[in-house]
Amino acid sequence: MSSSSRRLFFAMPLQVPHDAFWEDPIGKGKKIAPEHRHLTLCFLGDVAQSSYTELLHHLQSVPPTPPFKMGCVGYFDKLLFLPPKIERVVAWHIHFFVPSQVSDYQKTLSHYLANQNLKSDERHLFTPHVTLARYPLHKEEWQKQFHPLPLIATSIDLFESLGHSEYVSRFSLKLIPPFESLEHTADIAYLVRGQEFKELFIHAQIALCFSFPPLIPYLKLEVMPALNSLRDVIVALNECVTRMDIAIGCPFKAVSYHSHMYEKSNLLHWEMIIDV
Amino acid sequence: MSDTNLALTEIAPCTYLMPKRGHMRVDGLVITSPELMKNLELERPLQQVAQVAQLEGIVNYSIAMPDIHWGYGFPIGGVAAMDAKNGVISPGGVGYDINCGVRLATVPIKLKELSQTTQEALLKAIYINVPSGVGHGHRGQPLSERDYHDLLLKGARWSIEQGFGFSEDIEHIESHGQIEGALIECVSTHACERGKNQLGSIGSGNHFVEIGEIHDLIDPKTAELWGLFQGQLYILIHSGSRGFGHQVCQDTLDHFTTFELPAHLDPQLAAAPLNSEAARRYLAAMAAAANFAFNNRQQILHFVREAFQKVLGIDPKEIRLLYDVCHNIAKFEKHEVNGEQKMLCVHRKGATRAFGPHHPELSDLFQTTGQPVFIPGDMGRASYIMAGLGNPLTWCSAAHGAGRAFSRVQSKKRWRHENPIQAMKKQGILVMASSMATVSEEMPDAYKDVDLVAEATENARLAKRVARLKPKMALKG
Repeated sequence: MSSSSRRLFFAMPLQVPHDAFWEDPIGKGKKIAPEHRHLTLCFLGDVAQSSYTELLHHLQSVPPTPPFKMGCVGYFDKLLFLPPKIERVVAWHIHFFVPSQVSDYQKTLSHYLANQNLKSDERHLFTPHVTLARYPLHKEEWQKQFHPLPLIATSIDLFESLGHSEYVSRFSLKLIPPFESLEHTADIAYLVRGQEFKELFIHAQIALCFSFPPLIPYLKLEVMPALNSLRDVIVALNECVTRMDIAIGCPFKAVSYHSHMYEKSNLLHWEMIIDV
Repeated sequence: MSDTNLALTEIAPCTYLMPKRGHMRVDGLVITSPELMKNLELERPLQQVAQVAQLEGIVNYSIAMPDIHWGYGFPIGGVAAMDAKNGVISPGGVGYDINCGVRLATVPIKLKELSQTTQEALLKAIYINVPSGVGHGHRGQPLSERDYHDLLLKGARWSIEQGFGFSEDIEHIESHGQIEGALIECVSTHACERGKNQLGSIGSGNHFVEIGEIHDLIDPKTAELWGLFQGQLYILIHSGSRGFGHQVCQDTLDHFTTFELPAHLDPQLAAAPLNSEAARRYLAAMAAAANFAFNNRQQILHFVREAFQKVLGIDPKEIRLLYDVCHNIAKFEKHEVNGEQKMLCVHRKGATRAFGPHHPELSDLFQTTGQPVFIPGDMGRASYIMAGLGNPLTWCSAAHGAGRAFSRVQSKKRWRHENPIQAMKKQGILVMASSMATVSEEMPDAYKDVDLVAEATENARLAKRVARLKPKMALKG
């Protein structure tokens, strides 16, 4: 990297719940600190200073706004060693609840950059993942540690690499958080947002998993129940709690019928309270 | 009150009236003290007191105990009696953890007789013997349909017949360890599935087994009658009906929330007339869950007795159950209303029954003293044994705990960079738990001062202090 260029990429930083392996994985490899881990969308490589200045200007005047206004939710569903056969990095693969949302945006962003005469590295098919460490790796150690973890992405950033796996954001497009933790004296509470009841349900499920990640296998991911009211959402969430408690035990007694819900900026906002 | 429109007027020591207004059918009655009010976020729980006062058939008052905090429908620490003829029953007045409760047993030795090494060995033996935390449950075979049929009908007696305890224990359990009217056919398959591997386990959250010493004898006469002495080891168990009871509540709310409710009422106060089929089914399922909980605590005590026998060679029979109280339940009781005896359905949600001396339901031991009432504080400071005074204002009810001061999220943040078990050890208290996160959530600083709660309870003449307890070992979920 020459002094007159910057190493750039677009990525989504991720929020995950407190987890010992995520925060401090055991295993050989050049580890990337949790605060620097991200989902890369487009890798630009070394970009000349003049092109960088132009890009920043263009980003501010015509930002690559995605068609979705809310943050993306999903979970890490498997361990990857990339690239295939060479296996230089260990990564956790991301399953988004709406998989096409991010992959479609990745293509849009790539076109946007191409229109700015910036070519992103597209040697590989877009595989949503987060790199945890680089070569040398001890595969078995990493395999033992993997377990599903929920995640949310609430911004799209242009990052500059500072070297040594450290990055700084130079431009950020903020998305509306799908949920936020609320203070509740005795129990657990979240402010959950969604455009309609189905999305409210999806976001509420991931919020539950933020409090207890082993709930992930008991979520309703593929076949959505009919959801025409908040009551339907609560009943469906409690079905997840029941399934989990029967199978392995669950720290939640139930999602309560607390029904404080309001509409703001065309979004449903619901205070979800979980009895623990 | 500065932060609410629900103004309180003191009418007796630690007893405040919240006059009815709007849709309230009766006044609110709040048992508290100026010291407690200083440190409490009262606006939302008092709004819930006002909401409960709007329920059909409520008699005299919607009542709040000194440890009141925000709950579902009813506040935690809420009491309301409904006229059995024209009132309603609300699962929100019982809670998800039906018959969550506390039992206290005494050990015939003093804490000071145990070395640190022995204490550590004892706690480890209890940890191994008593299933705790998420997913940990029944040590033997899952409950069969036959087991369910029998245990839900017989209550704690079923566990005793299976070898978990002694027949003498029954006299020392509220309602003799059995709520009548339980019907398995009113319980869903899901509830049975949730409970079948969970009997005899403490679960997670704020449930625990605590061992400590009777630190101060405040009422030596009552203490002597109850066989308590200074420095004596005690066992305090807090658990409920586990997934079985949670599902009974959930199933009922799923049903009751389909009923029409006045727009001004919180949906979590969904209720059914006591004389309806819906109420009959809930009462039968609630009784089943309550009996599950009595069995749960009976088996937990058995496992703790086993641990004492293994480590200290103490005969399990010498570990005597003092009492077992429910603090999440609705019960039919006769009380005097305007000079007449009336049958009422008393909802106690995070509140303990506190019958006074000479109550016909109490066994001989408690006839002159009133029933034991337990107010657990936190695992670091203190808990209380009290004696019920049978105060008619609160339908003979008292507080059930200290109540939280900080949220679970705040507590976890406060302890994120420290080992909470080591911090407790520095205070001289041994802690074992399935989850370090649970210990962080349950640290003493997360709770209010139980001394203030016990003091307000006594000043309001709900129960009198018998002994102050000091925890020494704790098993958390």
